[in-house]
Amino acid sequence: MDPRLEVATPERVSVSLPIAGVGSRSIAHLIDLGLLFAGLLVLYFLASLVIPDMLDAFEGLSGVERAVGGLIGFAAIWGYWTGMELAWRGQTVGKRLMRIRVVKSDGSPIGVFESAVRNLVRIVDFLPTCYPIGLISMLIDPRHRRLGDLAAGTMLVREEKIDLARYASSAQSRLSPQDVEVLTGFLARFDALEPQAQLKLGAQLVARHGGQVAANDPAAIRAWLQQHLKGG
Amino acid sequence: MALGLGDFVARRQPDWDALTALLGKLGGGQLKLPEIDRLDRLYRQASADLAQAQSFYPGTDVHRFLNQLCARAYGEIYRSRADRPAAIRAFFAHQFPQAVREELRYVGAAAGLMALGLILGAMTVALAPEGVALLVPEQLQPVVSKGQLWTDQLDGSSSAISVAILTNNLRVTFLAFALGLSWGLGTIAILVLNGLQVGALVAFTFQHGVGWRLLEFISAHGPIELSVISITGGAGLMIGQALIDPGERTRGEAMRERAGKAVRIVLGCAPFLALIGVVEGFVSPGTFFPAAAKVVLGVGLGLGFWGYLLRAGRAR
Repeated sequence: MDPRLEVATPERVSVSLPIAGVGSRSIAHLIDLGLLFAGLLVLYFLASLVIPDMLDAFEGLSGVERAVGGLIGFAAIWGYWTGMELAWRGQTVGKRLMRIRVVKSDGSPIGVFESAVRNLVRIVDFLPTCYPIGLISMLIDPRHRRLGDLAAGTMLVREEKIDLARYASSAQSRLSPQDVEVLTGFLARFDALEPQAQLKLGAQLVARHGGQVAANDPAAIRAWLQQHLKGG
Repeated sequence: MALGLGDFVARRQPDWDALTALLGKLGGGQLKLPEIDRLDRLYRQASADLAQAQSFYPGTDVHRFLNQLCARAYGEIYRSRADRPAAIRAFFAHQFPQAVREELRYVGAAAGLMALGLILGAMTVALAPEGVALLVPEQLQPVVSKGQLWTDQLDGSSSAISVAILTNNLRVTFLAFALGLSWGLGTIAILVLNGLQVGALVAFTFQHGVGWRLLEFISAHGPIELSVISITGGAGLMIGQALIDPGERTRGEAMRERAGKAVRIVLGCAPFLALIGVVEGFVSPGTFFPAAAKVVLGVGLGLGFWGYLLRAGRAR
């Protein structure tokens, strides 16, 4: 079973959120990294319109100017993570695409402090290169938090996209909720299934509900199940 | 007997959609009073629906959907005030200086450790000159031996050394804090070691007649830089202390509570570190600013920094 974040709300219900794992977090990070890289490339080309020989110009900078440039670069990258997470309530482009979100340990949206800390400690998680410390921390921690999350009191939760439209066909059904769930779920995915799976699973479901249809006719199976949901 | 799943969704979904829409608007900007009233009512109803789904439709997509909807609404509605920009102002006006004042003995201990290192380093070089090879960074030894400072070099090695010093100071500042996790041992080691190196360097430059020029170089940025290292070192010692003596709590609990405060103290130092980096980069080297100006600036900044830390946000 996936680890979940349980929150007891003042309305006396318990809300539970699925916690994002290492995989989706890594992919989200790679997407953000790609974006940052692309952004820096564009900046580089724009700058090269003004300064023809960038490498030579860089060589000409004094050490302090280089250090200041490095600090500005660090601040810009840190600003991307923190600014994004604040503007989008705990999401960056990568996180949004992977449908994950940073929240505080009580499930509420993160603020300036949390975002600033978790993205500063990112440097420690990255050490010595490519996030070994962060990965180990995420694998050990039952809530998959890296050191930055531990320091800031945050974690990542998954946001599922759930379409309730599939229940529309089952209004006034007398079937039990479990049966409705199984049948509507099957019908919603029907078109995406392999033909053999359509037949095999479909025939099993029909038999379980006491019906009989031709075993090699997917359309008939679907029609019978739809009818069963409505009238059964 | 509970409502059928399909009927439950059909009957309640319009309210859920309305709640989702209102939450979207809440993120975007202002809601009017009747809308806020409606949001509140819809959220309570959705909570009741979630309770019903938990009892009668566990494990279904409706259950998952309501879970997610209620979590989102709960997060938005009970969002703490600390997330607003005003919180940043309050942090620097009250919380940060107050936190430093409350933990002043740790800051003092860190400063003491560094001073111990300074004295030991200076004494080592004064009494046993061969200690130079051990304590003064290698790139600096030939420069100072010629009676020069690295800021005098024109061949580019000057900038390499300046960068090395700047990054070394940043490293020390953050490591002194982070190594608090090693029960404070790492913090103590890095504070004393850093003091040793600086003390040895100062003594070494005095032996070659450039000591006063080194002090001139340090004077503008040194007071705040050393203060910040003491403060972050103090934050590291706080964490170490919590691990060694957690009192009646578990080590984890004590660490989390103290670490929160320690992190805030370190974060508060960040803008001052940036300021002092600029001074170190542009004012301290070279002869553009006369020595007296550097000393006045350094003393002024140092006094201003400590005046702020000791007075800001004090209840009158």
